[in-house]
Amino acid sequence: MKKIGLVVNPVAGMGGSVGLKGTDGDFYRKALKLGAKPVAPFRTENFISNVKHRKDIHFYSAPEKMGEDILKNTDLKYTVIGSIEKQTTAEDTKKIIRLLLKEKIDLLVFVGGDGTARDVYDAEGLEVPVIGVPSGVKVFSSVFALSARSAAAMLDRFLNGVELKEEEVLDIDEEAFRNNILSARLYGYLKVPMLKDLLQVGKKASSTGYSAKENKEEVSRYLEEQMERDVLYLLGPGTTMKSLTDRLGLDKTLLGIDAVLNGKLIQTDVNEMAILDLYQDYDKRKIIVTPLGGNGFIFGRGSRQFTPEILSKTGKENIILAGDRDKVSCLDCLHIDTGDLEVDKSMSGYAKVVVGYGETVVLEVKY
Amino acid sequence: MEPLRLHLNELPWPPPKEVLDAARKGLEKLNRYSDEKKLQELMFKLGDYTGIASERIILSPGSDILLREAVHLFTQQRKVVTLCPSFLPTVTSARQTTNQLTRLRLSLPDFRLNMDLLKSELEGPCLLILDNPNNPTGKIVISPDEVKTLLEKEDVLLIVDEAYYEFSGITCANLVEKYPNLLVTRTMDKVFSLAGARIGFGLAGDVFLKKLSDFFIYLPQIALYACLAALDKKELMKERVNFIIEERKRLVEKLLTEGVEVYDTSANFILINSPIPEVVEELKKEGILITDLSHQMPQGFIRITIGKAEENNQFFNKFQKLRNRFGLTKKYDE
Repeated sequence: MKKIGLVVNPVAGMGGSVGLKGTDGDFYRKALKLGAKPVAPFRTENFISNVKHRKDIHFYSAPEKMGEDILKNTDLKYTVIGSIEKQTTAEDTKKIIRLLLKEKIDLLVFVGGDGTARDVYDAEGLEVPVIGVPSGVKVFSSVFALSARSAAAMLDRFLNGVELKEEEVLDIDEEAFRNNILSARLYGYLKVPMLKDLLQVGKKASSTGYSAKENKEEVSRYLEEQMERDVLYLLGPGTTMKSLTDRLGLDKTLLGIDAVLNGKLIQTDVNEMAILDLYQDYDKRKIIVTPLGGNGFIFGRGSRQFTPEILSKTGKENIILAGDRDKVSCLDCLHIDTGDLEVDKSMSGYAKVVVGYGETVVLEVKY
Repeated sequence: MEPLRLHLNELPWPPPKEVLDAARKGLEKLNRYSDEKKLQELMFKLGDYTGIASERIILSPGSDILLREAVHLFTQQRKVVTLCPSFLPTVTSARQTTNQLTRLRLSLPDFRLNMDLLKSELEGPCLLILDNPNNPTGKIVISPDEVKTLLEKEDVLLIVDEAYYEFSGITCANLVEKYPNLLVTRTMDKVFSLAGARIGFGLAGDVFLKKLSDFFIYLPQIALYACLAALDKKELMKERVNFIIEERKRLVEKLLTEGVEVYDTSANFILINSPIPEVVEELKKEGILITDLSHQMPQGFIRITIGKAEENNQFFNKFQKLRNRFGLTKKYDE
């Protein structure tokens, strides 16, 4: 019998749709005020519903909303460990993990983002292997599965016996992130099953050399020429998009989403609600985003404001992908993990990414 | 000590004595441009070697130069479609001359080319460039029958780079007689041990032949004489090719046994996906040169040329030593 620990960070990912770029500390309350809805329970449900019902597993779960609430609706065998505060914090995560270690778990499944991964590292280091179910606003560390479904497949293959490897936990400076600066440093390592087809690759920073700058200018010149009148453009985060707005003479939110119409900035740093409002006024709309370097995510990591509802309303044909040549040329495929399987399916297939003036790379979009 | 060169897909042996003697004869004629009759002789010999009429042969100082020339001549007003990854100099040439370049990603685990996707990209005037086997994946991406279906499409020009043909044994060269829109490029660099001589050639369908034969090409004397002699040593070439193929299989088998993520190919190199950080630099410190593919493949991919048995063993041992250092042989203890 294998003992599987389960810890869910119930607030992870909530800041995403409301454009808060994180839910750490006081930003949880701010997210609630802005109407943010919980994300982690759905991700956990998605994970648990895809777990194969095998006789050789027994879950050891954190109480209530940190795991138990999802398990009690299934016929999986589980034991609840410890107690948690009403308003959970990182300390609850760490405390429960320490108790789970005493139970001699074989593997820990955690649901959250980069912040949660850091808490896991603080509590257990390299003691037991982990599977990270992605649910945060920022999920840049390479310890996460590609999706909740992939995490379930990973658990099954782990139980059949796989090699392990150490992967990076990144520390993203949340304050800097809110101020348009993506600053990441290595925080530590966690041991994960060596399943490259299911594990996400960590984020790779954009190139900043002279030729990379030239390349971005080439891409933005092409995009500018393709932009149509009376079409609402939502420009995703990143330096490629920044290069486009620089070209248009606009001041872009580097890590947020801005709305542009006829060469003018009509709203900056929009969240899901603001986008839905704009969609009521403009029926011709396009989204331009950059795939994340290293792992190729186009939606579901980073810019969570592009929720499944927004993507459905936009349509695959109105999504333009663009990025720098070196970064895109290293991607094996693109990924999407919005949390809504139907939307992910509808966006899958093949997609073109603009990487130069008139130059595109065609990649498969996997979900 | 000279480093072990496993980075440029060269053959590890020098040319045989007869070829070196012929090259010396060429050396004595360095004050002269190459003799037209000798160039004709080379075309005849290449015609004989490839089974294609010698009039269809285009000589060039390196197949990459011929590819560059063809790209420059035929990309005006054409969309260029090619692969990612691919032989980079060709892609760079295309980037310089066209405003429409589409690269189709060959993805893991088998680097297969999706033919439906490819056909859907061939709308309007196109120049399609395929390296077959592909460099650096080493995979055969298209069969001669599939090539035929592409050549039937309206206004498609196709260049197939067969630099590694002798290792794969798969060619569409015979189609140049029937299809004017096909150019096949080959090289003497690899299997004839003549990388330093730099002779490439094309087998051209009528459309390519007309434009590419507008210029008379003089080849370097030493290279010309060496090539003529090398084409008389085809049996030795075949022996060497077979040896490399056997060595490639042996090395792949050994690496697989050790749990390395290795990809066999239809060429004289293999691919490895290694999590060792800076693996190319680490091996360089150990005196082994290999190729880093991180600029056009996912991080961790490296290409290793197959050399002599002792060279391959040397690579294997040093690579294993590195893997041990990074704890990559450790298994999960249940």
